[in-house]
This record gives sequence, C-alpha cells and structure tokens, in this order.
Amino acid sequence: MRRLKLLIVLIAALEARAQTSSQPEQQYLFSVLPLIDRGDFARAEVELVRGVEQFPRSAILHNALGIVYRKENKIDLAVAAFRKAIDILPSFTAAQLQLASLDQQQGNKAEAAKLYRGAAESTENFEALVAAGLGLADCEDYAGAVRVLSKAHAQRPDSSSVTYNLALAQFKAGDSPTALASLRDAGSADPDVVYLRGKIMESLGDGSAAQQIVSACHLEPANETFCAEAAAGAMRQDKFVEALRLLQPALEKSPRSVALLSSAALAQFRLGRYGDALQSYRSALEQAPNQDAPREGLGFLYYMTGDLQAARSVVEEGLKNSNADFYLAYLDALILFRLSSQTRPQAAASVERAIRTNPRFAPAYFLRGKILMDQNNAAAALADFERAVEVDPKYPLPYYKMAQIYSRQGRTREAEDARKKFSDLGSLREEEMLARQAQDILMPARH
Amino acid sequence: MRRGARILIALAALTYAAVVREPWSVRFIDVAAKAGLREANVSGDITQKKYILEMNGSGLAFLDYNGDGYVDLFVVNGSRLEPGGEAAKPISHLYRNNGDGTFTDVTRAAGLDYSGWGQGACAADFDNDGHQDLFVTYYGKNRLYHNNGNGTFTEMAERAGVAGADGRWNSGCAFVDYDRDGKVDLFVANYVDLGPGFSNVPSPGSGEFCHYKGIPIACGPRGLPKAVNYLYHNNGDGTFTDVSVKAGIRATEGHYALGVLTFDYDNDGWPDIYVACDSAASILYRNRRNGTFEDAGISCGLAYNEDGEAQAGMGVAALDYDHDGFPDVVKTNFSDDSPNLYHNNGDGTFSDRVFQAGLGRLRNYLGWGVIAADFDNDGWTDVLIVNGHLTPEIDTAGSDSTYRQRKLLYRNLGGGRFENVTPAAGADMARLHSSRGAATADLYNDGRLAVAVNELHEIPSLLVPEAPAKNHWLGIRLVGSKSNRDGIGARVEIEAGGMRQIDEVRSGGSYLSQNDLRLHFGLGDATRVDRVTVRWPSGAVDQISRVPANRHVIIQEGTQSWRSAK
Repeated sequence: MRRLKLLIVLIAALEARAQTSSQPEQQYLFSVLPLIDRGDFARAEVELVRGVEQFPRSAILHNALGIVYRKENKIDLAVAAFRKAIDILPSFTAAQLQLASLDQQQGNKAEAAKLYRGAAESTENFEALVAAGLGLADCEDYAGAVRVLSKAHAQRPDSSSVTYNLALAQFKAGDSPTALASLRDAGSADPDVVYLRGKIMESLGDGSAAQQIVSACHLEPANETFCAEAAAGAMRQDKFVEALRLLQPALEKSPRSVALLSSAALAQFRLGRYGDALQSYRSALEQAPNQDAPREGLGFLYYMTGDLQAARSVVEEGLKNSNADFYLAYLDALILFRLSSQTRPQAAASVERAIRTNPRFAPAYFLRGKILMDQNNAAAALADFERAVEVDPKYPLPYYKMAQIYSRQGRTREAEDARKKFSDLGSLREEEMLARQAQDILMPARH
Repeated sequence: MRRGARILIALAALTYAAVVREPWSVRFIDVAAKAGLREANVSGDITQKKYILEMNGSGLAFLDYNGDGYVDLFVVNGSRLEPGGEAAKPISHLYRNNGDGTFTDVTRAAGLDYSGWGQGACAADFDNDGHQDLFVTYYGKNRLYHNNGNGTFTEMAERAGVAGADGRWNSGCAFVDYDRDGKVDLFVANYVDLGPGFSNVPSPGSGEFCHYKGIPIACGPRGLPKAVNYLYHNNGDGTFTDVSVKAGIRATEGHYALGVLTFDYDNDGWPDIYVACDSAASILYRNRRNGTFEDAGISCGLAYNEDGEAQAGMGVAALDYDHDGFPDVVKTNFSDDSPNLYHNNGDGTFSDRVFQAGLGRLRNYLGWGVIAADFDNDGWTDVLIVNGHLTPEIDTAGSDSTYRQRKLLYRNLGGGRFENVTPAAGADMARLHSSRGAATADLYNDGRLAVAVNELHEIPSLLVPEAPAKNHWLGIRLVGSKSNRDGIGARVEIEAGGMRQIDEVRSGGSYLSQNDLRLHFGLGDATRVDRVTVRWPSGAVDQISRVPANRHVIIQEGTQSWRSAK
C-alpha cells in the first residue's frame, strides 16, 4: 500500500476531540508540543507524566504520552498509555489508530484490524479514514479497507493517493472490475497507477495488460518491480530483446538486484546468449548465495549447456541446506542422471528427496521412472510414469516411456494406447520444452 | 577382479591416454574456388526469406560418374521464387574431378542442365550396368539420370516411375536394396505439403510458428501440412513400382522428413531405414525381412530425444564410435538444442549419449549436414557437423546464434568421448557460412578425406586436408556380383592393429547428400589390415587376409580376394 504522509495524529486529536477536553488540558498539551517538535522526547515525557498526574482523566494527554513513549521505543509503556486514553474515551480515533498500528507491528493483525475498524467508525476525518483504510489493507482485511477508503474517496474524489489505494484494496479483495473502474480517471502519468491498472487487467485476462506494465516501467525505468515484471511479460511473448531493454535502466540503478539479474539471465538464456546468461546468474548467486532461485538458474543453465560437472557443483552446494527448494534436488537428479551411469544411484537419492519435499511435481516421478527403467525395473518404472500422469494428466512424456516399455515387452495394444495418448497430448520440441520449463520454474517472480 | 588384470588395464589406459593427447594434426583448407567449383547456390531471396522452401538449402553427392577412379561432385541447386529469364535459371552442377586437384564443370555436357528447386541427391548403379546413376529430388518432380557410360546421362524419372508429382517437396533420398534381390530400390523422403502455389503457407510472422525469438520469419514446418514418404521397388527393367503402402512406409503418422540413413541397426543382415524428421518423431523403418517395414522409432529410442521430446532433425549419419560392433547414430538438430548421439545398445535399443560423449556443449548451432568419418585415420570415427541458421533475418534477433556459423569438427578420443577440435582444424573449417548439405570423399586417392559443403548463396566449400595423413588407411570399393553392383548394404568389418571396425556401403545420408560409396578405414599405426570380412546383401561372405595399407582396393563379391583400384 502506498502511504499518505499523515499528519501527526495529535492534530486530529485536537481537532476531533477538543470538545471532550478542558481548556487547561489543551493548554498543557500545547505547552509540551514544542518539545515533541524539537525531538526532545525525554523532557516531553517528564512534562507529560506530570500532566497526566495533574489531569488523570485527560485522554489527549495520555495519547500524547503514548506517542512520546513510542518515539522513545518504550513500546509497552506506549501501549499502556494508548489503552488508558481509549479507556477514558472509547471513541478516541487517534489513540485507536496508534494502538492499532502498534498491534500490527507486533503481528496482532486481528486485534489491529478491530481497532482500525473502530477508528474508522468513530471519525469522518479524511486523514484518519485514510490511515484506518491503509491499516486494514495491511492487516489483509481488504473488504474493510474498501469500505473505509470509499468513505475517504467520497470526501476527496480528486485525491490520487486515495483513488490508487482504493483500487488496490478492491483488486486485493477480488473485485477487479470495480478496481479497474476506480482507476478510470486516474490518468496515465503515474507509474504506480499504470502498473496497478496493468495488474488488474492481467487478472481480467485483458491482452493489453502487459503493455500497461511495460508503460509503468517506461515511466519509472529504474523501478525493479515494474521492469522485472514487464520483462517477464515480454519473455512470455518471446520478446527477449525487449525484455533486456526493459531491464537495462533498472540494472544500471540496481546492478546487484537478484530479481533483475535473474530476469536478465533468463532473457539472455532464451535468446541463446548463453555466456551472458551464465554471467548474470553467477552475479545473482554472488549477491544471494543463500537463495535457491539464482542457484537453480545457474545450475539449470550449466545443465542445459552440457557443463554437467559445474552444474552439479553449483546445485549440490545449495543442497547442503536441508531446507533447500525441491527443484534443486530435482535438478541435481537430472544432472546426475545425465552425467554418467555411475552417478545414477545418487540421482535416485536426489529425486527421492525432491519427491519427499514436493510430492505434486510430476517431472520428478517421470525422472524416477527413467532411472528405474535404466535399472531394468520396468514394473516400478511404469508405476512412476502412471503416478506422473496422475499428478499432471496433461503431461505427455510419461506416455512415451510407457509406450517404449510396453513395446519392448511385446504388449502391442498397450504400447499403441500409450503412444496414442502421447501423440494426442502433443510433444513440444526439446528446446521449447526446456525453455518453457526454465521459464516456469526459474521466472524470478516465482520466488 | 584379479590384481594382474587391474594392472594391465591401468597400463592400457596410460598408453591410450598418451595416444589421444597428441594434438589434432589435420588442417583443412578450402580449395573450392581454386579447384574450379565456381557456381554459387541459389535458394530464393538472399536477404529475406518469405517461404520455408528458401531456407532449407540443398545437398550434394560424390559419385564417380565416369569410372575413372576419381570421385566427382554433384552439387544440387535451388531456384528463385520470382522467375527470371532463361539465362538466370539456376541449375545444379556436376564437377568432374580431373585428378590433379582441379574440377571441370561438365553439367551441360553430361546433360544435367535442368533448372528446378533441387533438394537432395543420391547415386547408385540402379541397373547394375557398371555406371553410377544419379537421382535428384526436387520441390516438384524428381529426376532420375541414367548414366550412359560415356560421360552423359539420360533423364528417365517419369518412365521409371519415380518422378512423383508436381508440388511435392521431396527431400532426402537413398538407394537401398531392402529386399536383397540384387537390385537397389529407392527411398524418397518428403518434407512439407506446401499446397498449390504455397497456398498452405501463411505469410511470415502471421502465425504461431512464424516467429523466431520474437522476430517474424517464414512459417513452418510446424503448422503446415505434413508430407508422406515413398519407397520405390526396382523392377529390374528400368522401372520402379511405388510400394510405399504395401511395404508399410505409409503406416506412420505424418512427418516432416529430411535426412535419410540406411543401415542395419540390429545386425540382422537386412537394411533398415532411419529418417531424420523436423519437429516431429523421426522414423526408424525396421526391415521385417518380408518386403515390409514397421516403425520402430519409439521402441528403439530413435524417434525423439531421451525423454520423448521432438527435435528438429536435419542430417543423420551412422558410425560405430565405440567399436562395439553395432552402428550408432548421430543426428543434427535445431539451435538451442543439441545433436543426438544415439548409442546402439546392441539389444535393439538406443540411448542418447550426446552429453556424456561431449557433443552437446554448443547450443547456438543449427546443424544440417553431418559426416562420420575418420579424418585423422587413427581408427576412430570422427564427427563433422556443418551449421547455419535459417535466414539472414535471424541476425536481428539479438541472439548469439547467427545466420552464418562455423563448422564443428569433433575428434573421437575413444572411450566414448569426443573433443571439439575445430580451432585446430584450420581457419577455413571455422569460417562462417550458412551450410546445408555435406559429404566426404577421398578426392585424390591418397587417404585424405575431403569434405564438400553446399553453402547457402555461396559457392560450395571444398575442405581438403593440407597434408597427407600421418596414419595409415585403407579404401575399399565393393563390386557386387549377385548383390547389387555397388555393394550397397554390404557390411564390412576389418581387423587391424588390434582393433575391429565396421562400416556399411550406403547411398544417401547426411543432409540430402551422399558420401563417396567407397569405404574408408583409418588404421593408425597398422601398416596392413589383418582381415577384411564382407557380408554381402546376397548373404555371401568374403574374407580376405593381409591387405596392405594406404591404397584403395576393390573387392568383388565371391572372389575372396582384393585388387588395387586404378
């Protein structure tokens, strides 16, 4: 959620609740405000402690004290002060927002959302509504955020920030058509708005969504998110040169960005610029040696270019981490299977690990079946090929292997059935199949 | 294992290691222009290709058309989409080998000056009259040139029943005596059904299969109607009968067929036919020994890659790269893919060992012609792949894969491994072209294997080793008596220097091309071949002992003897 610059809620408190506080309380608060303004929180704390002793039922002074405690990172004291303020004045919006924000910070999203909702119900103040709406969105109560931000939007329909945030909340709440309608008059010069419009259109299956994201990247060429995603969109349309062009300015600004380097590597790989792709993945891995994604990318690329020893080394380094992504183990098995007949037992161990970690990944069963077939264990291989197509009924390759086994066993009818299924499901050319697998598995957005 | 045996193996390995680490010594120079190969290839527009027909180029064939013992070269030519005047009509070219390092263009004198969109060529003495005949495939009707024995040919495709029909895209071809009746039959692969006036073909960039890495290019083959293959039985009276249906050739699904390899993959004495297909399952027509075939591609593992993914098969060659007595297969594919090196497991199955063998590292190359030959005569068959992308527009795609590409020469190290020796094979080997068909022959009868390559829109390359081979060699020409005259389909096994090697006489192969019909064996240090065994298509076997190295010999069926070639 894009943040508005909110005024110190103190002001809201003064405006909204002036009628509930006495003139001496207000005068006392005004005498302390310059200290807060100057950042002299220690003296402000002393003065406000004295104030609440003098006016123990003053909600605004307890609220102010809570703010000072928060500035001083005395969170428990701050929470207590805000609670006290709310006890005194249950509809005190400013204190509710402050306490909600602290709850949210501490991971108590449900409690925070309750307070945000309460705050929104108790105020018509624009900034407070916006703060509550954003808070609700941050607590993933998108429907609540839509309600509150709609109120704010009704007050100031020309506020681009509120329009943006409302549309974002609607989109997150799953109401893409309304979200798109909210952005109708939002213009096309704001990269955030253009990007959001693109995402909403994408969810609606609108073919021109990618163009919106590309436009966002053009409006803010150094934005990592916009441009990595624009590049991913270009790659899906096989526009790899365009993808690299989109990534270039962002890479210049953030040359160590793992997402950008990985995106560039993928585009370079798909373009057939293997040397460049290896270099990009190597750079990405240098930046994030503990992340699986760039390691998978580099390992996959070494595998694809036939440098199986390098591939093995990169992948197995990552597998020292017992929580490594399943794909890393699968990749290791692929490499070892291809490397030599001597490494097939290790390939079998790695594919077992991949299956244990993710039992819903059909290619792992296919690979295990191939290993079993290689060991002349046709029955077990067939079982794995069956399992692979059970997990992914549109996966053609297991049928090919089944046809081979049946044919070699002289089971002509079964072989023909399997061959027909294989043929019906269609087979891509190898370079496309692997490229698509790379794109699906290694697209930086996945991580 | 006993200790002694271990030591022996270790010593053998050390000796072997010492041998294979010698630097590659064969440097090729391109002598084409100097030797007189001066006619450039024509294949549609030079800069912009509208149809796939313009992109595939053509093959070439080595044959000794005048029987003088020097192998001649026939270079197939394409055509143009826009018709020009008579003078502008491109023709294929027959270059006579003068035996002195030069060639003479004898096309018109030989009666071969026909203009059409030529694709491939294969040669064999189909009427067993002692003269090699020539078959040329076309987009359109094929041409069968009967060799008159006097330096001229007579075209007789229609009369012989092998012309086919207008509009067919015939591609690879091979003469093969599939029924072992002593007369070579003819297999003709077909690529795509373009339709009348290219009516089946969308315009570049207009369909799913009309782009390459985001740039619009000519469409196909995917998305275009597939074509069917043909088998013509030689009736022995100058005519052929189309037996495609009866023989089971049509029992397969449609394919985009290109390179044709005939070989006896299961060592049963009957020739099988393997067809490299583009973007579809390749076909292994297994000879059922009764005049029919069945497609064993899937069960044998030759239809797709190891996983069942289709590849863009172009050229194909057979070799026994590990000397296990079973012929293996090397096939070229598209860029961003690797070639295949299908190892023959000896049980009717193949396993792709391209990565283990070291042939799968370079993915930017789009391979077409492929030659399996022992260029350094060390007794281990090497692999040469010629490359080039589809169209010059590829160069705008921003890829490292370019329209013009170098050739790749892989040296067989033994032990199932190959090494890329292109950088050591001379600057001309690494020169950039967009190569298509390729074939090899011993042009000067001195043991140096030369390579001819049909280069798109250029004169051919003729790459000749600049120095005689250091190792010893033997060339063998078979002359059939009961079997077909050229001995096509005969299996030859030699034993020399403690090694056994096999090869077969075959027509067709590579990409729409044909090698010299004579077999060539490198012998390493061995100065003689201890034993030559010829298993003829007729079933007869000739065994000959102690054949001295460094010569071409002729072995006639049933004589159990050899004689030097002239």
